[in-house]
Amino acid sequence: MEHDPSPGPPPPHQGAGAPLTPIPWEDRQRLGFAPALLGTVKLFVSDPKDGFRRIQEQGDLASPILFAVLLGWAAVIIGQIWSFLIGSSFLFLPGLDGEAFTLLAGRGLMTFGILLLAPLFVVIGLFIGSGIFHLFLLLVGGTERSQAGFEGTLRVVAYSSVTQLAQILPIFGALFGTIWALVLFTIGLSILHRTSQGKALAAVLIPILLCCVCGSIAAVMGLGSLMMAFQSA
Amino acid sequence: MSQTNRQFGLLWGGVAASLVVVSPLGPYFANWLPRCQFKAILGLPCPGCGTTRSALALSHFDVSAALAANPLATLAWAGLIFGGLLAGVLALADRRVPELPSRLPVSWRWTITLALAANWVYLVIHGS
Repeated sequence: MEHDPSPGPPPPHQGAGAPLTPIPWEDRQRLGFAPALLGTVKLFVSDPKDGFRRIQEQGDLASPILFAVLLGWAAVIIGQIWSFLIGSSFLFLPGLDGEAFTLLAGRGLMTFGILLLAPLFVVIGLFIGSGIFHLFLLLVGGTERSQAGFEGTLRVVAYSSVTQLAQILPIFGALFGTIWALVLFTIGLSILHRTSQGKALAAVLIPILLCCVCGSIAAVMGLGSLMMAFQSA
Repeated sequence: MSQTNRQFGLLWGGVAASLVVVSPLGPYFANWLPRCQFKAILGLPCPGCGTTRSALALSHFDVSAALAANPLATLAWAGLIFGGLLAGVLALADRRVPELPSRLPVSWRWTITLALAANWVYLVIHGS
């Protein structure tokens, strides 16, 4: 018989008796689209624990998916602007005079394609990512007291899309956003599935360490090289 | 059938259908993916090595090549696509879509963990 010795966080929606107020995004019909979006972003940036306690545990799945698509799309746009600006500057190096316009046009066309397909890939990534985290949450026994099921994991991953805004920072934005996302995933999964933060962290870290070791090592190596370059400059 | 269950079925079905539709673009997108640094540094494949190649092979209906690239990833892709298409049809027909259990028996947890380990051993031996 398995027993989780850690008490875990209190169940959501059962605090002082009165139901918690929904997050602005899930109350956007009353608040309006833009204020609800900005209010939700502000909430998950400033107090993610409160945000995850207040999100719907069951019911409408369209709201979190729409939130993830909007922020994911915004991140792709920001990322493409950075990529275009940095990449285009290389096109005007000596020796590329005649080809610069052709390369620039090709790059612009590719950017347009990426922006067009981005929402689709955000939804695919959201679903597959949530599935992987949920599988490892099941494996570490993190769903024993959960009533939210897979949809709970999907909601956590969707609202954690707020970390995509880190793309505003050039070069280090992706790394910073990834670390921030790990923190939000851990907080959100522990609250929505009523499990310990240790199990939530394990469910998040194991697949990343197993399957994305490649990316982690590349990021650490890239960061190390940059630090060394700055020190030697 | 609950609203959430129907939305879950439609989402899974939509994801599966989208993957089928964009699969011809797979080789193009695969070029953007970074090379496996785990393999580059240690000379051994990571547990996820071959996932992209298995997807590309499946998009050409080459099941044996997909299984050779990464057996577990091939099963996962097949489950995602066929399960998703079925879930989408069930949701559209207002039928309940089967969901993941909220808890896994210990025997299942060990089975899945051993399958992941065995798959990695295969990749290392096969030299994927």
